[in-house]
Amino acid sequence: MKVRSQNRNWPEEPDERLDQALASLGHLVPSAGLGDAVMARLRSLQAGTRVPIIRPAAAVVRRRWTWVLSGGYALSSAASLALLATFWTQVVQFGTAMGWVTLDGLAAGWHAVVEGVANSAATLALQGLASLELLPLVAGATALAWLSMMISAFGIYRILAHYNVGRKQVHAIR
Amino acid sequence: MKPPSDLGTVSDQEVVEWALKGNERACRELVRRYERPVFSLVFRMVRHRERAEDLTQETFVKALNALESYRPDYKFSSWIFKIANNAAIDHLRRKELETLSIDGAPDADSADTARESALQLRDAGESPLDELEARELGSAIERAIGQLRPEYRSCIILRHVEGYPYEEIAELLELPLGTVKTYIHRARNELKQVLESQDE
Repeated sequence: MKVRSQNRNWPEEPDERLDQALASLGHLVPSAGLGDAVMARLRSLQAGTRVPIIRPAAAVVRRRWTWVLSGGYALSSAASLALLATFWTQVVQFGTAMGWVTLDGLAAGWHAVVEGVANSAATLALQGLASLELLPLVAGATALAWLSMMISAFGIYRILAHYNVGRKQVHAIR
Repeated sequence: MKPPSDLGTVSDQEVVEWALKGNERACRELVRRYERPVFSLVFRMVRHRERAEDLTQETFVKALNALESYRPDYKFSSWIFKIANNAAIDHLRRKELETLSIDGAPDADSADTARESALQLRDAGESPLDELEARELGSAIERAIGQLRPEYRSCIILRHVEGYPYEEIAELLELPLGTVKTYIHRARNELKQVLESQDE
């Protein structure tokens, strides 16, 4: 019993070599991206989904890819809008040069469209384009406009999602 | 109200308050402050880099998800170490303990994996000879700690790496103070013996 009572107050016997060795112990460094991985998992909990372990390196790669994707969306949106604008400028210039459409007519047509009137100069202009077998081009341009709108919308969504815009971050997590 | 631009100078308790208000930067700051100490504790417990990283991540997810249960009168570091230690102990209970390899994970299947899983010892910042000796000694002590019982390891790491007093270790590990003293005493004796045997 005496031994037990001594055991309860073991002093740390100094030992130079051991203390030197223990003093050499420092903090170890985990892979980069732990914070990203933790926040990604917290967000998934916030969204009500349970995501298993995320490798920190993968989180870093994902974050880099988000930038690349967001940049890609922004560039493709800009390029498709520029293409669309160029196309319509060319159509109007060509039509004007040939006397098939007039700027006044287009302006009047736009005004009429705004007012909700269908049988305006714009309709006439479109009819003129159609009669000139430009309908496939018009359809193509419309499809392109639709596609570029979709790409732009998705790109904006991704960028906003990346920055968690409009989201309460931690309250909903727990 | 926004948190200060430099959260690095703010106390743990204040950062926790910001995190509780839903500030992501505050959550990241807590991870930044404690990722190395927590990873070091867990790694030295489980002796496997990837598992240690997984457990470290689990520790932070658990902690940040249960931040409301944190009591500000308790040190945040003690709270997070307690979660980390429990995670490591649970893992060890589920899985039989592996032997330590200072040169990398025992189940490393390539040279790269082995290199990545090798212990990264602190740079001594001394002369090349001193650094070499320190590295050798550091490797020896890491190897020796790997041979200790898990409960001894927690005590030794908290005592000698984190510098915790016995009383706090006892509180953190929920052990009687006498047990903590006994564990540290025995652990030191075992470490001494291992170091001596390595010298021979």
